[in-house]
Amino acid sequence: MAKNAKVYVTESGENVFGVIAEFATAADIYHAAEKVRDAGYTRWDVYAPFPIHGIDTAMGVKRTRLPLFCAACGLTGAGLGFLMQWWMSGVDYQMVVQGKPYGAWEPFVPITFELGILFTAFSTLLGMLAFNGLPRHNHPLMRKERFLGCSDDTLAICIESADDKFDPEQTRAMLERLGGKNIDLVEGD
Amino acid sequence: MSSIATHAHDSHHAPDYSHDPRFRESNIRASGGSLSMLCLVVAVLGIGATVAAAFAGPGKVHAMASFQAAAMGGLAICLGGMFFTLVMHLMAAGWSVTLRRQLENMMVLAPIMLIVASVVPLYDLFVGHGLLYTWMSPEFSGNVLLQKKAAFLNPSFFCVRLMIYFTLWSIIAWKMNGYSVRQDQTGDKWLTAQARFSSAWAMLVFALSTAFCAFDLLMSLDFRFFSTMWGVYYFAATAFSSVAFLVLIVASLRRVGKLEGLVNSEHFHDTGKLMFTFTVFWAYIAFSQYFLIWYSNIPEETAWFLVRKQHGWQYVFYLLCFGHFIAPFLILLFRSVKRSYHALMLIAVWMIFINFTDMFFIVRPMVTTRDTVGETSPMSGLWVDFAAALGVLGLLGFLVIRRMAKLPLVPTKDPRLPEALHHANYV
Repeated sequence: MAKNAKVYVTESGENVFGVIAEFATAADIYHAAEKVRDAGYTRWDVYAPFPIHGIDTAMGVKRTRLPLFCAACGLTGAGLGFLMQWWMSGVDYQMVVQGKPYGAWEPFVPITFELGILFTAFSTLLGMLAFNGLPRHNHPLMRKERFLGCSDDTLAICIESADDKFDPEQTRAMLERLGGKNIDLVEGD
Repeated sequence: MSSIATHAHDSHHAPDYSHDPRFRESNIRASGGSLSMLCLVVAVLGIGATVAAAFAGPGKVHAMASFQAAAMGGLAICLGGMFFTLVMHLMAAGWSVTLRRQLENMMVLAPIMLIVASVVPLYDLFVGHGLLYTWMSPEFSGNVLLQKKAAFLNPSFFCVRLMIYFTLWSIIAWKMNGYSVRQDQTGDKWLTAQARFSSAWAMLVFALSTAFCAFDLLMSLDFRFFSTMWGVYYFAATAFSSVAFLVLIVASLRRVGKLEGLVNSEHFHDTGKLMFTFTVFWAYIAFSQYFLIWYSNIPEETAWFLVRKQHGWQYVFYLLCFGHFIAPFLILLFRSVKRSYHALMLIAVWMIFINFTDMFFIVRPMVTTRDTVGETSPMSGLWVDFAAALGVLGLLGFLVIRRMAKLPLVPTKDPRLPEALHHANYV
């Protein structure tokens, strides 16, 4: 995602992270999210203390590409698991076990399967963390006293300055038009 | 959601959809006159060709094996319909209410398909004297392995068991279908609770009777062979093929413009997940059975697979590995495939085909285990197998379409209908 060329700075010299606005109800923020999406913003988020059904469609969030990454890792794991066993008992150290042929595929299946699962599980967890930019120790929003209410009773939209369409005045005006309350500038990063 | 709230105070009756345009007659009624006739023609031609093959070229044993494989494939579809009807009630599933009528239509045909699947064994028992089912042959009456199993594998008990399966499945089908039909008429929501109660014992009966039926009609083909996983193996086939058949029916109905607003991509997404589930389940069961037999290397068990891994049957074995597991597994992983009923329909046709292939792999090699191997290629005369499979599928199609024409295509007064109509997958 192209980073906004312009860097906005406050009077005190801090970088602008974005603009935050609060909304009264889940329905309000849902419709506001639709408008922000339609205005073409891409780097922004909705913060709510509870899940809002369908908010991902309202925000135009695309489906994650994590499954493709997991599948690639899973197949790699399964392939490596099979190769490892085949090389060990079929090539490097051949041994007769119960009169079965060297390198018979049948006994390899459980471990192939397990390594496939292991790689998929790890890639799912680690990939999820990486795709989400986690772990992260701080976030500019955490400095906002009112934002902390998003874990209690506040619904908020924050549009980030890294967005190509971000403009301190216009974005603020748009959030105001959409019915946002307590609109504020977020500093940091 | 709103309909749940409006009807919450009404203690006895399901939500009223009689004025809902989605429940208009043209949307929930199907006639299928010409298609059922086409199916009947296919059935007559297919079964006729199989019978003809018994008296010409391929021979009697070949024709019997082809027909038995096909009949077990057809029976699997009906028994799977019974399984899913019961399991949907037991789970109090809301999302699948608009699919349930088609499962019930498959379920009520289970006793009829049992008769179809009993023709060859009973002919073999009374007339053929063990042409296909080796234990019925006087040739083996002195066999020590057969004598050990004689308490179970004897003509009279065999017939009694077939009658027991017929009775039990008739009772389950009649009861479960009865709740559904009566609810359509009266709208009494407590019928759903009764159906759930009956499903509990019916599920146990279903599990045991299906397993024993699979022992009798498939495993006993070679009396020396035994596998403790056999019941589960056939159950995997029932669930696998019936969910494919369900998708085929419902997607066809959608294509001709029925069930609009009642079954959508959300429902197909979930049936797609079930197709995926039972693809994996079959692979798990099939591999576990094969693996344990391969590892333990007990002659009575190993001989069964030994035949099926040579003389050309090994290609069927590879086809099953690839076509019954790997290919559908990889294809059904994709979300977009599961949400498109056009794609699911193609996969469903393939799944039904590959399930018949699975039955073929079980039954048909019996022809060469009896004959001296090497005279004729075991894979010759495959047209008989296709004819038998098409014949049985034609018959099943004819019966299913006739049933579909009798009742609405969906339950019209089920208390969980709102759940099915608002069904959505959020992931």
